Amino acid sequence: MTITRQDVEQIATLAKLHLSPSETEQVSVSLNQVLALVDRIQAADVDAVRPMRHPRDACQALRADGVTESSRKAELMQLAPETDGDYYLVPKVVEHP
Amino acid sequence: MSELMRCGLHAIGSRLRAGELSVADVVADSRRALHKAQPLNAVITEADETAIDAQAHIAQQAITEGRGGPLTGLPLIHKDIFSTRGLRTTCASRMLADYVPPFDATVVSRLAQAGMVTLGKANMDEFAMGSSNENSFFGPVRNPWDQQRVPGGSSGGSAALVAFGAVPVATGSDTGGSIRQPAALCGVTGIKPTYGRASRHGMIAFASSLDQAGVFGRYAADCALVLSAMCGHDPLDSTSDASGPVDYTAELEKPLTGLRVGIIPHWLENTETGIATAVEATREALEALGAQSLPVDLPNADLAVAAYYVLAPAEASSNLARFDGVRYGHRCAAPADLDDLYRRSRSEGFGEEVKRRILVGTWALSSGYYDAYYRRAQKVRRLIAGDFDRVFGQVDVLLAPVTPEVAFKLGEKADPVSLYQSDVFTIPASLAGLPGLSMPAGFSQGLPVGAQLIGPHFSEARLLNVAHQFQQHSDFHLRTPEAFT
Repeated sequence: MTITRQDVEQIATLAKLHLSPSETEQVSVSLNQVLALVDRIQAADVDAVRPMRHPRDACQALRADGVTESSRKAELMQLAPETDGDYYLVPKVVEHP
Repeated sequence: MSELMRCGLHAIGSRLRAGELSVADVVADSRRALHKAQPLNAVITEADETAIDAQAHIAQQAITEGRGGPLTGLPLIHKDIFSTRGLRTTCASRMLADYVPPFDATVVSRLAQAGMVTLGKANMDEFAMGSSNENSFFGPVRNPWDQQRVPGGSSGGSAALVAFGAVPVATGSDTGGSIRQPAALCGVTGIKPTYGRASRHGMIAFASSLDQAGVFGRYAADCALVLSAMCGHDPLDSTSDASGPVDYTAELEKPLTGLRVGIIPHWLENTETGIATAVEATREALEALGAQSLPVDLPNADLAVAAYYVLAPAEASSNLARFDGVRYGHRCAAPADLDDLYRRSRSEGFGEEVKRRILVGTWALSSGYYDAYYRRAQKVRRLIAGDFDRVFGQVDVLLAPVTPEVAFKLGEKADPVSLYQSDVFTIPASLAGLPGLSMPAGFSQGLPVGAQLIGPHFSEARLLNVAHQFQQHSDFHLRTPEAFT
């Protein structure tokens, strides 16, 4: 199969990336190169094979449901580019009626 | 370079504990060598002098009071993927160019507890995505053997600094070959342990079902020392194996008599002659030490690169969704709305290869392609793991090339797919979660060649034993790049 420019724009929207028209063009070319590489897996006979999600087929470990962390709010908020008191700031997302 | 740093951890450590050297001497020596290594561009951030002095002071006190362990007072560099409290951690990305973590990765805190002194953070491919270290926001790393050539990647800075002799050891991480490939291209020893052996807590995530921390050193014995201190169960990483720490130095001296070594003829046919010759010579050397070799086959391994470039980008696209310009990391100026904030912050913060992998991963996980690509790649992953299972019924370790060619020139591999092929011999073990080691095994065209050892899950001690025994009877690991001597 082939990935078109429109496909790239759609994927970029899903991935929350902004691509300029020239980037979209370049990405279309390189994604098709990657696709040609990964398409080799289509030849494998895997009908009877279970997907492998963990390299040792281990399950997610569970731990006791106890408190282990203390609040480090002030320290973590300091890392944010823009804050107001206890809040992260983002452009307005709710319009007044 | 520093003659002292090239002596390795065992030798420097005994001199420290004998009182012949102070920790301050050792640290100063390594820092001088790091400055001489500047043309390699292998360091992103040096640790603050006050912080270094404080660590050195604590280490010296431990030694003076007779509490010094085998790693106390010894300097190291961490790959810039490991979070270091109070020390900038960029993952070689503009996204994290100003990020100072409020906590240490478990690997970092364990090595600090063992008394090691952190001198700084090594350059790497952005978010560990690359095989040449050309994808760093801070510029490419150069190979100390030939500065026109790449050191390999993604842990290129760590490998180059050990090869140069600036530090005795450095940490790295390996997702598809990011420790073994640069170790081979720079002529040092590097080991990636079994998936789950070293904690991933605080190691910035790329592909979580593959990422594994490891170490570079000149000597296999030094890698064993560091690995012993950094591995073992960590409750902060839910994929960390439940087993406790292991002393990987305990079996280093074990004779190789009766060791069954598997050779993969198909791989040797697909590597450059100089590398195939070096691997053959390594096989003969191991046989002279009592091992026996037999040819084996991994029929599905040819699909490994294809499966990997579905799985790793898919996991990356999910992991890197956390970078949103809101909580930490790069934020674009004057966003028009929330969507613009996300999209521009991410597009400005991520480099070309990272964006490419996010797009590939998003596509492979999207509706309509999930079954044909992501799920199918997971099935191919099981086929490859099954090949290894069968082979490890016949042999104890595999001896293989690490790379199809020696260090290539900067800029030589312009299209991404040709670069992806650099990891053709390292990706199979990564998909199966197996431990892999690269050790210096010769030279081709004047450049270092690595030989790869792959073993069953949790066979790190065996791999280090084989490498250590080989290093008792070879001197490839002792050779140094002429350019800086």
